[in-house]
Amino acid sequence: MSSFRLPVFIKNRFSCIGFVPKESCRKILLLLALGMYSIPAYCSEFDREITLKTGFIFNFSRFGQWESNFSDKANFTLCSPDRIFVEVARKNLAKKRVGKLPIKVIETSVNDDYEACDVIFITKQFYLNWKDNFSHPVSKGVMLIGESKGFIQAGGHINFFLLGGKIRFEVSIKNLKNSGLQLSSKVLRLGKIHER
Amino acid sequence: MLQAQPRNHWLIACALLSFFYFCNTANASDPEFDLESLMSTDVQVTSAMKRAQPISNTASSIYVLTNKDLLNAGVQSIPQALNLVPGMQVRQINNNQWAITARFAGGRYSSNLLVLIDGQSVYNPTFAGVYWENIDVPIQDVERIEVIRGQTGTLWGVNASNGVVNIITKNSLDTQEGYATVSHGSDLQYDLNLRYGGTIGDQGSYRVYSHHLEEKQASEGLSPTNDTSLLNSMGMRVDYAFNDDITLFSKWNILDSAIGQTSRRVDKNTLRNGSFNESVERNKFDFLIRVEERISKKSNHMLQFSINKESGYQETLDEEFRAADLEYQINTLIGDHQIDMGLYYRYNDIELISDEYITNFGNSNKFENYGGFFQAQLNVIPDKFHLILGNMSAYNDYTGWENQPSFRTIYKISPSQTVWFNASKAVRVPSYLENNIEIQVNGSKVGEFVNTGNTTIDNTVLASYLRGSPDTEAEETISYEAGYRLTDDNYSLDLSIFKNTSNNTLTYQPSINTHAVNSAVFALLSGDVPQVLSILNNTPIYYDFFSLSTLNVTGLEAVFAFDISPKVDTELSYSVINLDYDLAPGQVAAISHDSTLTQLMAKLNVKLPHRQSLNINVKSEKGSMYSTGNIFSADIGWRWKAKPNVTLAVNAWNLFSNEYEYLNTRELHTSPTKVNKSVTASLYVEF
Repeated sequence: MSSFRLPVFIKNRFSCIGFVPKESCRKILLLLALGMYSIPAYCSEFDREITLKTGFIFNFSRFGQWESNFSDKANFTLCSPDRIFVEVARKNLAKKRVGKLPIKVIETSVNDDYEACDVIFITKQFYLNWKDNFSHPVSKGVMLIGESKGFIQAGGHINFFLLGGKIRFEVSIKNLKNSGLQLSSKVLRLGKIHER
Repeated sequence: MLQAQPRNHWLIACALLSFFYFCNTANASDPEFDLESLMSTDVQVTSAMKRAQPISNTASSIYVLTNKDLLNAGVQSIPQALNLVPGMQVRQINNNQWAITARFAGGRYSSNLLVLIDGQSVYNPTFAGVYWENIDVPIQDVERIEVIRGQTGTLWGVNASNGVVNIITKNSLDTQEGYATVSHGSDLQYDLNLRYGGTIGDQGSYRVYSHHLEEKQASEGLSPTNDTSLLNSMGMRVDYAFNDDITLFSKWNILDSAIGQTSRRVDKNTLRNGSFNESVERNKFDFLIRVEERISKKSNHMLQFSINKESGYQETLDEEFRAADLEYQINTLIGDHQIDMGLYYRYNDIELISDEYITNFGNSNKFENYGGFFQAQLNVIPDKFHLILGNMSAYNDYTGWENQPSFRTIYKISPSQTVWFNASKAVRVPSYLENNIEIQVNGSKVGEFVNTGNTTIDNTVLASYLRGSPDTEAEETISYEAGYRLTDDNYSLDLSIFKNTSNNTLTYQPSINTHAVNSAVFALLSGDVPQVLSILNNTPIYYDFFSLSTLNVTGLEAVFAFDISPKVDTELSYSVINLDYDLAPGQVAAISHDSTLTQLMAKLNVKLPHRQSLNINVKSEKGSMYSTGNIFSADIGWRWKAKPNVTLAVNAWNLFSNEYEYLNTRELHTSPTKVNKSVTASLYVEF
């Protein structure tokens, strides 16, 4: 059986690391080399951004105020045409409630009339498609959340953007009001108010 | 005088905690999706800054103070904030000077704790430490302070062998409103903070701020007290996002301070130490610019350039330094594994002018540091077992290349339980002062060594000098640390034990010209007193720096936090640290001595009706590390949000005690005073 040999340049470079004995150093490097290529590509990094945005959307929902007050509803419904977002949101919001209502996350088409939705999240991927179809009025009482430049100007209510590696959001109080919605000052004080 | 009775005070603290425990109400909070936590979370695990990861994934003793913690406790300075961190040793030398460190003994000129403000190192290269009184960061704009106790040299470089204090301020987009605070108190003439924020087009934001402070002197000290403070500073932060992936961050800060100092330094006429009341004026300018780019969902990198310029003027010493730093870092994921790499370069230029007690300034006052680090976090069993390997190779002009490798493991026993272990080597490079300069220090009378029977000879003072040496070696510390972490919805427990063994620890050894001493003895036996005096007057004692001892530091730290209810949370902590020197013959430890220090802390936060809150922090420290008696302090703060934009606060500091917290009087310019009980009242207004 042939033994594993480190390339000479690696051996010379690393075998002298401080307190780590040469043999251990080789084993660690072997582990490192094996580990690097033994595990399938990582996708949860993408999920992390979506998970954080799910958290924000949950807060917008619980600190939002709908004229209808959900008196006739059994669920609070979050919609998105983005399947990946829907999967992540379902996982993260499974046991959460908005007021007393359990949260239902559903995948919709961009062309749907969103009648059943309380919140819609339009991801970047679906933005242009949504914008083209936005000429028809969205039902009152549906909170529109996006993550694309120009989303507010296109009639959206809340738009995510990244700054310094962190998620930030801008809010149009005017657009919210036009749709019969309000947001608590707890949220507004943390966001960038679009029309001031 | 009200005497501290630690046992009774702890009983009172326990009774209070029990009371609030039985006030428990249903838990309605949702800490998982707390909006402010979401705002401060990085989108990527690989952050361009070496920010701490979620605490549960960190193989080191880390403690985070949030903006809310700082405001609740009513702290007004960074040293006061660090006093809230379990395991940190924060001793107030007098009303404007502090000795702060972790896992060692702190001093006015401690150099093993790295302090960063928004990623910019703020140490003074003369002694490689920090003048805490000039760390001026508006508390209301601090997003969080991350404190890592223990070695972090692999990521943070030399001089981080005891830990890192990473002060991170809020993005200017999050400080758009105007803000003003004004405080007045028994030890505080006034403390005024002003801030205004705005936007730059659609994609940028800024804030400008200023701070003005005047503090009174303590009522009692070892010498007549003179520890007043007068500070004025202003600064600006700009954040600009070119798009979602490229951001620019820049800031500058200027500071002008005048602190009263009872300087204990040698009088050239008497050759002995005297006390001199004087004022130290300092001017400081810091500038930083950083560009971060998200290359992909898995990678980002950043380039940072910063400048520090500081000058200090006092009666017998003018000091100035200029430092420039350039840093590049890249962080990426390969498969499931996180790779962090970086390079840095630092240029230092020091200028000291003294016609009094500094008698030699060494060979060079300009020196460079540069190096690079590599760290791989291998998720050997995803979300279960991580292995973290890394090394920093750093060059400095004094000791050449130094390596600081580390090996860390994290094992998640269950979603709520983690055990971790790390072994690492860290290096503390001798400072400019240790390497170069010669300072005249307190002289010794002949009678302190031998009684000749001749009063004139016995009272003769031998001039004494402390001499740095270019042969001083870098202090190398091998550290082993293990920890256990338990986190649940309502409580968490953090345990760690550590053992650090440092070689080449800084020592000094007195020496005298033995030939001259023999000649003096011969002259004395011959009865030639004038000749004896002539020899003695030309025979100084030298205290030369060496690196000839070994220091073993062992300790244990435990922190238990418990959210008793949505309205009541508490935290209890215990830590013990032991210093054990193994000195070479004739050597004296330059800093501290064999000693043990035990620390107990308890914190309580209570939300009261009508938007009021109460904060109680109790701390007890026992041991001889600082040559003081045992310390027991209690701070109580009350806050009332009278209107959505107006808050009133009253804080009582250091109740039950009026004692010295620090009595190491061997240090230059250090004259401790008693830490008074004090009260401050503050008004916070947003507009």
